[in-house]
Amino acid sequence: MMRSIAWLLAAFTLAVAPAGLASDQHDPGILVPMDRDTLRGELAASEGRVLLVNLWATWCTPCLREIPDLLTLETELPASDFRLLAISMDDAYSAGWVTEFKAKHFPSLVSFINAEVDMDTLVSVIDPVWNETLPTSYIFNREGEVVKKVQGKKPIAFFREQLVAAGL
Amino acid sequence: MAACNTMQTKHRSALKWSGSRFSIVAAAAMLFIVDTSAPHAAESVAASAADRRAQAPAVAVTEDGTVHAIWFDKGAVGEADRKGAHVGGGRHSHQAFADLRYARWMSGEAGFSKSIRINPEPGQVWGFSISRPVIATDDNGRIHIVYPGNGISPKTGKSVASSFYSRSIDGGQTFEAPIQLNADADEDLSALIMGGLAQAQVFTAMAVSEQGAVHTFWLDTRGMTESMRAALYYRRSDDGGAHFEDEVRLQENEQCPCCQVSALTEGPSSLFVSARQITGDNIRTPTVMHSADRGESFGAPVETPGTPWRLEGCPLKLTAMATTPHTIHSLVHNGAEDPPGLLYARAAQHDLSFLPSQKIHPEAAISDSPAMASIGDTLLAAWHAKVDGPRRIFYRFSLDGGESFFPVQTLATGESSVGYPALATTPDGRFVLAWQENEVIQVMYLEAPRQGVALR
Repeated sequence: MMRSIAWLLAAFTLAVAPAGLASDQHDPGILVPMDRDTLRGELAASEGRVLLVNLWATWCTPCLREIPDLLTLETELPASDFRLLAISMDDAYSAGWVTEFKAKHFPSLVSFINAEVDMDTLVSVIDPVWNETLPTSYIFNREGEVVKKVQGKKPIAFFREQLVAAGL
Repeated sequence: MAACNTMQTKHRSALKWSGSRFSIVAAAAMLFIVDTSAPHAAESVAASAADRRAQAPAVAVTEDGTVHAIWFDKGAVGEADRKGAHVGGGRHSHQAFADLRYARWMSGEAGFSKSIRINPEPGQVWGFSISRPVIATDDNGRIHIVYPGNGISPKTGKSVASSFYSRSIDGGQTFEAPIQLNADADEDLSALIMGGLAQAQVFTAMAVSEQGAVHTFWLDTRGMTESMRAALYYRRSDDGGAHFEDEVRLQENEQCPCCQVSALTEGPSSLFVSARQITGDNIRTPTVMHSADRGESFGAPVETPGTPWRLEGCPLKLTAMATTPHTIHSLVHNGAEDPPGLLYARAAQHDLSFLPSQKIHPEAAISDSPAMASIGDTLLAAWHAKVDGPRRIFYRFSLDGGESFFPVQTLATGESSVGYPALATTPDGRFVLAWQENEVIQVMYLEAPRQGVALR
């Protein structure tokens, strides 16, 4: 109950805050290739907000079931205090049809796609010991520190609790 | 087959020893010291071309010493999104439109032959590093291959992924037209699987006896519900792959649907299969099943030891096994360990009573992608892992059937992206190691230490 109240307070507070930062206003119709430098840049640009990095793939059914909840969080919370950074772990060479897939199922999702030679090379920027299990999410506090690693599909209430704990 | 192609050769003389311990009784570390003779690595050769994107190698060796390698080819470097048009125009995400390539390294040759495509038409292979092809040989020189392929179901008209088998009876010069192992499913599970497939019968395993009995297994979405658990199917050939019996539904929908199965034979009658079972609230535990009658019947699955790993997601973790006389060995990733990594355990073949598991690479911050092979009592385990830098290939020998292991060794591979080892054995008592390095398949011989220091 207390967590729910905390969440509502946080959401209300943030709802009246100025929304939108220019740095991550990517077109959801484009799947942006992401290499290690791009990821580092996006992480740096997200500091000052609570950040949820979500690793997903079109072949990961639990990932696809989780994304609507993450989009709900993104809708509930102002971009000035929260950012959802989704990264597809699909092969960058198949970005064309992954874009089509995303446009059909999650048209509002702003997502990048891994452009490194394998998944581990990219994710090592955040987590050098990732075990290549999907979905995996990382929650960063406003100082840009990872405060929670989440593996497997979790309910939206779980994410709400973790975001509050991260300083939202 | 065409003459040897241009191949890259790399020198692998520098092997780094890490000071790891594989300790059941920590105080009794060094048990025997006869002579410190380090295993040596020869030069590696590339099986795939440098300008192609190759993944997921598998290797086998025939009695004449020829090394046979297969891998997924995902196109030319720099070639984007060639996919989609080859299987009825279906374009969706679960499919990975790749090819399966084969090449051989004949005794006395400097390296591999020019590769050939196994799948009849380009793009027919569902190719991921975590759903590997499998290659095996028998004493008659036949080469057997299973792999995951794309298709359109004749029953639903929807895109599916299926398991395919092909063989060569001329030493790898040609391969027979692949046959689909699984029957076509009636159900359209597109809404359940979501990613674009109506059914999936993949993550295939194969074991081939010396006499040529071919045992194939795959994970199957038939009967899948919201709990997202796969069934385990089995199909066998008793005549070297010329004909197959009908498929058998070996286990109901209790298996992790994205964790590749492994299988091996021991002698003419004994057969083992390992899968990752889901129990309770998404606990994903590797199991081993045994058949003592050439696959006519199987005992109940026995869990391998380890911390229960709960995950509502895609572990993407294959199992690995090997046998030494009277013993079965298991090497599996466990995401519930801290840090997550590979657990080794062994059991007597007759009762599958596993001894407590041990980390194969205690110093690793993460270890995964296990492979094992054996010759007599000599056991070799290989995997990829990170210690304090980039991901590397590591391996470890046991000369006494897994009772003690030599220290972990690192394959010197520079700064490139390295992973996904595969193993085979040669008739003259050596091991063959293949791996993926910057999307080029590399292969080399490994020799077990004749004697030396083992840590118990």
